Amino acid sequence: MSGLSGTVVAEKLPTAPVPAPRRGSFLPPFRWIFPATTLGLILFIILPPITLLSLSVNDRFDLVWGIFPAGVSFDLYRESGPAILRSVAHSMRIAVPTVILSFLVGLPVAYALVRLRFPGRGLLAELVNLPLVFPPIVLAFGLMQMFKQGPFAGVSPWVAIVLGHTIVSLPFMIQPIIAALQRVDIAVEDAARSLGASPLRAFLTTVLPIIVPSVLTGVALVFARSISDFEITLLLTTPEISTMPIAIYQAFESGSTRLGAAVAMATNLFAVGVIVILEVAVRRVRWW
Amino acid sequence: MQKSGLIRRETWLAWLLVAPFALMLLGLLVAPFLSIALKSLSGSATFGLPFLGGADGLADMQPTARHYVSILTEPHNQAVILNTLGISAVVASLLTVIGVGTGYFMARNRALAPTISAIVTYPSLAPAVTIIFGILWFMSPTGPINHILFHQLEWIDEPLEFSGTFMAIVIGDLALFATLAVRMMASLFEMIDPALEDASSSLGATERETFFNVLLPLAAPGLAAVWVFIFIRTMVAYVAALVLGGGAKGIVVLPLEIFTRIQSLGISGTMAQICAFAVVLSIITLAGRAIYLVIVRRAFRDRLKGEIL
Amino acid sequence: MVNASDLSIQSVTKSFGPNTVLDGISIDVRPGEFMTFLGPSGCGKTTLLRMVGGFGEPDSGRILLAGRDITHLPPNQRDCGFVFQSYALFPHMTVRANVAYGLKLRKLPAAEIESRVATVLSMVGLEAFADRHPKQLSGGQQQRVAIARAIAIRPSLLLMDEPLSNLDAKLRERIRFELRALQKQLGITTVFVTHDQEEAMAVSDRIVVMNKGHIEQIGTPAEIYGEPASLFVADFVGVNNLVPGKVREARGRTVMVETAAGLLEASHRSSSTGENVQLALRPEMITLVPAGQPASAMGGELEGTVRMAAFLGAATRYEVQVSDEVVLKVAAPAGSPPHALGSRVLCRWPVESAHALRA
Repeated sequence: MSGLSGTVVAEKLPTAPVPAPRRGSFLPPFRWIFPATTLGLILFIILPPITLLSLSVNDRFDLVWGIFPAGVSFDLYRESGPAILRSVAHSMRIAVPTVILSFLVGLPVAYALVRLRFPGRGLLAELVNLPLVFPPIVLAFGLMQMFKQGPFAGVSPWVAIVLGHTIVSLPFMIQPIIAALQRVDIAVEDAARSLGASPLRAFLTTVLPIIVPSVLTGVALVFARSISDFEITLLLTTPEISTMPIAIYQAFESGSTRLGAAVAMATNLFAVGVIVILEVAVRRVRWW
Repeated sequence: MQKSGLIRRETWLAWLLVAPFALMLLGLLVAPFLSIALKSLSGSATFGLPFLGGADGLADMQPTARHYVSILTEPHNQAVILNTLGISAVVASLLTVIGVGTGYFMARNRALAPTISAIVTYPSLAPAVTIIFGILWFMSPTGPINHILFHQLEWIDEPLEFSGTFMAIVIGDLALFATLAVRMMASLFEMIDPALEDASSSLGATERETFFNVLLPLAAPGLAAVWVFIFIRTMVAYVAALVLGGGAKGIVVLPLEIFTRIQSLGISGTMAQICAFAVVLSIITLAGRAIYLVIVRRAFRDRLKGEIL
Repeated sequence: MVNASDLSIQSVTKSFGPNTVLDGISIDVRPGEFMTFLGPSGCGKTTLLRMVGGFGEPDSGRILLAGRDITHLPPNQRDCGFVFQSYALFPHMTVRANVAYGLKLRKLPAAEIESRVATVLSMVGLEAFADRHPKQLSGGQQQRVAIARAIAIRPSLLLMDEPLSNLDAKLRERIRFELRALQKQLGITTVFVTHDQEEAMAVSDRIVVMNKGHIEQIGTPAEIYGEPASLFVADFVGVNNLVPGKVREARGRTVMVETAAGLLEASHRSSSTGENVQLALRPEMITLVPAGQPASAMGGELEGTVRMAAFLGAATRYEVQVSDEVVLKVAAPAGSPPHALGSRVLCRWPVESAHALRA
């Protein structure tokens, strides 16, 4: 059938349409593959966290059908409340400076890349995304050596973790700002200059307010990257520092699965909650 | 003269703006990496990296390639390399296929796309550790899978042992990187004009023929780019292997091998060997990224989204 | 001379890499004058205007404003109002805040800012829209805000970069005249950039026609229209009849040109005998009369056959074959007697409307 020649088609067309070749009719229609794959992926993604959630609010260890809680109890959250709050505080002590540092370092880079022409620009454009792919374990290993016995020996491990997080987070701040700056009419800055504003003032009063939504997107992405980070923090952390992912890891490793589940769910709610709020803010905030 | 003065002013401003970023990248990423690379070629058994607090300078290097040779020849190291490449290749291939299915569905179903996108984005927002532990619990001897198969249905005689298998790490990485693959594929298929499909079916092609003769050839460079991208992202991740790999006797991947060797540095192993592993991992990753960039720039002029997620 | 002009551009040169964008441009703009830089895209007019506004510096040459050298001053110290092609309104500010922006930077008292903003907004007829954001305004309204914002700071020079090009044709024509009236009312020296010759004619006191980084002609609209100085200007301002020929003899203000259609008389600037020229003639300067009429002594005359006639409403366009190689385009005003296809006609024109331009 597939060898149907052009002349045959041409002869048949005026009288009756060529019937679509029917093949593999014992199989479900081909188009079902796509929603089926999607459904499978969605189940695969949401089932494990749901069982983790049931486990954390179940009043015993066994789950009905391994999925649903037998009875609801929040004892675990109550018990481990202080530990959870402590790890939230530690994560924030790292995430907030990371966000601020990424913004202060990233904004000028984005501006220079979009608006200025200078020697080294091409190289810089290539380097901006390097931290995204560079193996985190190698980055953390280098930082660990520098902060343990290298030039920064004696500097607080908090600083090492913040710096590590900032390096890997910078692309998440820079890229949305680059995209936003490319959409801002260059003439807006020129207009402010012609009306009497200095270069810095023109930027601060016209361009910066316009790109605020994208800065917020960057903030959300960097925040998410920082509080989720495990692979860099694990090497640089000390017993005193227990961010949320580290606390979860330690809870599961020490065999307290239900406690780990509770910490994990609290972390998830916190992390996803903050990011969703920021993202909603980005969409809702329309100051003009 | 005035012209060069003008250029110099813009250049100086740009360099000034870029300086903090450049210094951070140079000082905290590039310089340590160069030092690691130097150390990996050194026969000296000291700890610490050259020029970064290490005791030895260039004179004490005793250049040697034996740490690289050992990566290729020692059976344990060979297994690590093969496991790493194998897991990354399997994950990249599976996610390319799943990504095509879901990404195409999202690109052509505008009504459901935002909801699917929100659900699929979840793993990229939640800390990776929680996802991996969710999977560990789900598959554990007391978890839902074994509960249903062993206790309820009694189809199997003893609980399935999941932890420590090749499959376990693959499933963990699948969950971690599904977001990336699906997002990139959706953006890829959005670039393909639906009118092409209509044209194909108006000429008598079935949906299957349209898909394989029109869509897939158009998307082929994108599929290659996504494959390479997922491959290198999987390659450097070690949470899944750390939690699901079953420890030192289970399945070990390259970044996890580096991690364990760092942990036991005082007891066994040498600094230089770790450095050699680190260099190998970095080089494969950077080479993969170079390939990815070549594909994306040739075929899409940088329009393929997904790098930022 | 220099003191008499408000803005003086002196031998300004600018290149980007191997491309010379401006090649020794000198222009003097008189106080209160509406000066237009007219030319095709890439002729350097926008680069020159931006340079006057402080966005880019010349490689050599000077720019003086009221006798003061401003060549290397940053834009915020120049006191030039600038209206951008894209309007460049601040999207996050209301119309009022947009207009007040420059005044606030000048640290004027709040009461004065308020009254000045009100005055300027009433000048452009936007008092009722003061609290809207730019996105809530139509294109024409946004355009007026851009003008109001630029004149609110009472600049010594108003610069406009194709300010009407984003408007539809009808609106463009209306704003053209409003702009002209506002400029005369304020008496503000204005430099305007456009690629639209009709627009340039409608608003300007004088026009600078530019091409490939140099000046082709400076003159009033009537001069540019009636006496194009070069082939480029003639072509750019819509002279459609160009007949190649050779100068036979120069006679003071006119020359005799040998063309394929015969010997024709034309005005000239500096042609010499034996030179190759193009004879430029506007279609609307040609009058058609039926053949066989007595010869006219006052100008050029050629007999031919009507090959094409197209009725366009305000005018009828004809193409008349006057020799084997020469076809003249003629625009006859509405109301003139029609000529049928194939009929023999006489094309007549005043000698001073035919120009011999160096080929």
